[in-house]
Amino acid sequence: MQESFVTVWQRAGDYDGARGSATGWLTTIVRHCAIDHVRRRAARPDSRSAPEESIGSLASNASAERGAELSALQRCLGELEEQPRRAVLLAYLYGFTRAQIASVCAVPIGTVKSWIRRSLERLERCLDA
Amino acid sequence: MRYDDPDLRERLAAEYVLGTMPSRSRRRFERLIASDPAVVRVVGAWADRLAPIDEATPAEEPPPRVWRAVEARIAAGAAPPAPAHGWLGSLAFWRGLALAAGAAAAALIIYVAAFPGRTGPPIPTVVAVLADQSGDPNWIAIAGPQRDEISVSAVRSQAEDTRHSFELWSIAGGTPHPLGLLRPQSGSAAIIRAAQLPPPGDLLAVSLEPPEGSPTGLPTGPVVSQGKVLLRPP
Repeated sequence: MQESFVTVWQRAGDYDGARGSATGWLTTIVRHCAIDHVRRRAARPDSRSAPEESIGSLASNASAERGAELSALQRCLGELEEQPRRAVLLAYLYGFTRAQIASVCAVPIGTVKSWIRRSLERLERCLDA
Repeated sequence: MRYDDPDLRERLAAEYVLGTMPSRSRRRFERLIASDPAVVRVVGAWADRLAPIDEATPAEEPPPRVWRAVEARIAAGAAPPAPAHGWLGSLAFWRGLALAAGAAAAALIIYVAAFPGRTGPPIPTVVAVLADQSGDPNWIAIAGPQRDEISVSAVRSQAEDTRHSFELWSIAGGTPHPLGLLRPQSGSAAIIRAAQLPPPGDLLAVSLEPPEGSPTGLPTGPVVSQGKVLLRPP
């Protein structure tokens, strides 16, 4: 957490409000600091230990305005097949690497790469439609 | 690598925001971000596409010792950047950062701090999404919190009415079975047993019933939402 705040301070000059929301920029920095932390510790988070982090409880935390956007995102996620959707959520919510996803889903890493690639393309088309 | 290929930039930006880029590739891509405004734009667009999840994550305010340590590190040598943007000096911005940071990091940092050695497979599994007649999703069923349990919660708070309740039904082979009353406030889930789910492809439905639920064991009011069961949790 501390690292991410200092990084934001150091990189604040990079931010340009015309090119995306400050929240998105901040969140990306914080996520990467957290991912680095997880990778250094070689720890793997366990969603069963903190199920409130699941996307279901995220939905119930959304404001009315954000609820609509979250619904759209959930609808688009819902159009993905189960395993690719799981791969995307494991990466985004829990910071899993491709290798960790491959291990959890018992598939080759190349499969994970193509799941994520295709899923992101589909999400982009669905969300921007 | 041909970073001037728009498709490649788009793909890398998406993976960068998703967090699946290997560390070394990420450092390389961050150098590109620092030098190429077009890349910043596609990264920003991806961050905004996925932002609803971050903003719906429960906020975690960092403890005061984090602030003290950050202030000390900044004062100790990190050259403050040119505050080209008014938001940098705003208290609201930094307060927002505290919440955004908590939101984004909650699923990662808190896990590591609290459960450093666990290695079980995390599976955020959506079991069903129930939508109203216009197709708007308003209830969602998720595996958990415990094994063999399903949480059903409102995607956003449903209009409350003291004369009615929302009752959940399993409709397997066209036959409704009552699964209990739902909680209309967002943030509050009803728990059912996974064994009560109909098979994938069959329906979950929500009907409007008297406050204590249907007196007959069958729906007596209108069905306001329904959705197919996508899967049974493993």
